[in-house]
Order: sequence, then C-alpha cells, then structure tokens
Amino acid sequence: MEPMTAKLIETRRKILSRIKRDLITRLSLNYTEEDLHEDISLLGSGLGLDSLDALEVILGVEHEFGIKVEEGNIGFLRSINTMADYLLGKGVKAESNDTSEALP
Amino acid sequence: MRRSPVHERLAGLGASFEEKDSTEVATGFGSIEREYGFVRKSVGLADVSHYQVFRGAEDEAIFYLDEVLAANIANIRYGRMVHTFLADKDGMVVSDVYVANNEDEIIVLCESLLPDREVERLLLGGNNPPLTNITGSTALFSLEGVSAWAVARDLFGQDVLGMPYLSAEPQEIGQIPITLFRAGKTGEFGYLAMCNSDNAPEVFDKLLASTSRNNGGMFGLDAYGILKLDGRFFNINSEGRRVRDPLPLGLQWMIDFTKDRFMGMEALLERRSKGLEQKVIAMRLDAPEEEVAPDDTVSLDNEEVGRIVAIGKSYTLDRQICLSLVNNDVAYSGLQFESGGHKLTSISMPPFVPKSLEIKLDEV
Repeated sequence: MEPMTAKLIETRRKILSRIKRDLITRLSLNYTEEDLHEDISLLGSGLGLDSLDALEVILGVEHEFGIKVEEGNIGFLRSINTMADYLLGKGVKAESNDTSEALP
Repeated sequence: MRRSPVHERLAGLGASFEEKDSTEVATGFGSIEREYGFVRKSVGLADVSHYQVFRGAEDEAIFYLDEVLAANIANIRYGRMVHTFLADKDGMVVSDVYVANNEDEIIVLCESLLPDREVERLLLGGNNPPLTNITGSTALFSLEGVSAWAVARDLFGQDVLGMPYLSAEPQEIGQIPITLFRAGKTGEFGYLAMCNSDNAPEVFDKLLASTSRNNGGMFGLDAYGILKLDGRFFNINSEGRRVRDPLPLGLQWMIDFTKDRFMGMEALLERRSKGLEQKVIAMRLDAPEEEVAPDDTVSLDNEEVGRIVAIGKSYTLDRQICLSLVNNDVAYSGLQFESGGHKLTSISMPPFVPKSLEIKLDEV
C-alpha cells in the first residue's frame, strides 16, 4: 500500500472511531464499533434517530469535537461517514485529546 | 407465476415485465431516468405486489416472530413497525422484512430472494404458526418521493402527515379499507398502501390519479433499484443476492444481538465473533461516461482488494456508482480504487442530501 493511502486510511479510521464511540455512549447503543457500518443511516432508517436524538448528537458533536454546527444543519447526520466528512472539512483533528480507554 | 392484481393496468401504462423468483414484476415504464426523476423531484408510484405478505393476531404472532426474525419484534409498539430481515439457518439473508403492529394484528411484508412457497416454509416452518399467508389476496403499492406526503394528504387528510417514520394505521380510499405504512427505501418520503387484491384496481387508480396531480408518475423496479442504491438503502435483489451475509452488508442495525433466539443466530454470532474480513462500501466512477459491471475485481495501489456487487447510474450525480465488497482494512471513503482500467473513488453515502430532509411536515 502506498504511504499516502495508508495515511488517508489512518486519519479516516481514527475520526470514525471517535464518532462511533461517542454515538454508542450518547445513544446507549447495544452495538460494538465494528457493528456500526460507516454508511448506516442515522435519521429515519438505520439507527432511526428522532429529532430529539439528532439534537443530542449535534450537541455532543459540538462538545466532543469543539466546533459549532450551523443552525438547522442536519444534512451532515445522514450517516457516520457524512459526519466524518463534515468534521474533517471543519478541520477537526482525527486524534482525540482524551486518552481514556475506548468504550465498548 | 404469480401476477400483480393490477397487471392489466400496468400493461396499459406501458410497463415492461420480468419474472423474478416465480413472480412477475414491473421493471420499467419506458424511461428509467424519468422514473427516477419522479421520486427525486416529485412523487413516484410503484406496484410492489411481489412482496410476500403475512398476517396474524398480535398476541400470538408477535412472540412467534420474535424467535424467527433478527430484530426485537416483541417490543414493537402499537401502530409502529420495524425493519429487519429473515435469515436461513446459516444466517444468510433471505428476505428484507417490515413487521407492523397494527390494530391488534401483526403484518409482515417480505421482499425476498426466494419464491413464495420457500419464504412461507422458512417463516411459517413451525407447527401451527400463528400467521396466515395472504400474499395471493393482497396488493401493495409504494409511494416514494419528495412530494409523496402531498399524495397521502390528498387521499387521507392532513392528519396523515403526523405519521412517524416506520408506523402503520388503518385508512380508507373511497370507502375501501387499506393499511397505510409510513416506510420507504429511497431517502425521500415513503408510504406503502396495502389492500385486498379485489379492490386493487380501484385503489391503484386513485393513487395514480393523485400522483399525477402532484406532477408524478409510475416508476418500475429498475428505477427503484437505482434509488435504493444512491439513497444507500439495502437492495436484497442486488447486493443482497450477491453477498447474502448481513455483516459485510452492514445490516447489523437490523439485528438485536441481545435476543436469545432467531433463525440463523448461531451462525451469525459465530461470524461476528471472528470479526469482519470484508465490507460493502460505495464508489463513484470518476469519469461520467465509464461503466463497470457486477463481479468486476477492484484494486487499490495495484493490489486486488475486492469485487463489485451492485451498480447503477445515479442521475443526481450524473455518473455510475457501485457497491463493492472489499477487504475491511481498505473499506474507507476518499480512496482511489481501480477496476478494469476505470478509476473509482470510494464515497460516503448517501452522497447528497435528499430534498425530503429539508421539508418539515408539521409546517406544510
């Protein structure tokens, strides 16, 4: 594998892991990180978040990643992958400052 | 071969038909791009009477199904539905299933890889199953699209807009009883209308008339397949048929892993415990005019990493997209793959914001 490919994968893997850990904890999901496919729909189908869940996730994203989500923007919650795209586009670092152990 | 109760109506509208697992389905109505556009821009009506349909009394059927299907069926609240699957003993997907708890009865809607009798054998395999197969006497129609809500309001009144996603309720069309489900597989608003096959032509005519009034039209299962693909909804007749295993397909969300029992559970849990080796991800062809095909191999940095399992042209993206089953260590968005000399980029799904996500039904 080319070094550039490996670097892209590592960045992506880390931010996806952070998002999944946060969703599992915040929504009390009975799934492991590996159970959550990155394209799983968050709204409606898939995890089936309602509007209150979505608000909870947005507040969590703002807290966990230190960003401000534009008012009314729920489009980025289409899937875990689109959340990752949004956060990377905002310049969020893939690495977490929190070094505590990952939740199951 | 089983035919739709509205076969003559569909034929009169110019439908093309194909046989799928001993059932005739309407695959298209002349222009797949136009049919796709109905759903993404206004509203489309499809005949999905090829589904197998089962019905049973709530108090018995709900616990029976809980031991058969992958999701938690026992906890479905009155008026709500779950989306799950039926697996065989090897834990491989056989049917894409909705289960609805409606008016003291349980309704099961199956889109399957197998003929009717095989699905019935798997679902009702036990002694005295508390469900009846009503497939032969039932018609099922799908309304999908950014304006599907307008057709529902037109036919059922303003209150219908309060139906949450994955819910069911009894309704009427011209005094004909129907069961209305709020469910869809395109990312836009979706409803399923179910009625007795004797009443199907009249119900179909009223649904189509309202669909037309709302600038929509018929769409066939070929267009439906593309809408599922670029909406990233599971298509049992595409990637489902080629992969079968719900874990690499990403269907874990349809499974309650805390249950004691469901069909295929042991095999599925064993595979889960070993960890994923491959996973299905989406890719977009970089050049608009290029095409790949199912089973074509996929490479990354000159190393073969998987194969294509579903294809279709997304008219929203104006290029072909595909699903590929690739090694888990490279199953990430934003990478440059190659297949048969064509460049593909792995993408996050769904790749666009469905228009329906921007509409608040409590404000229309």
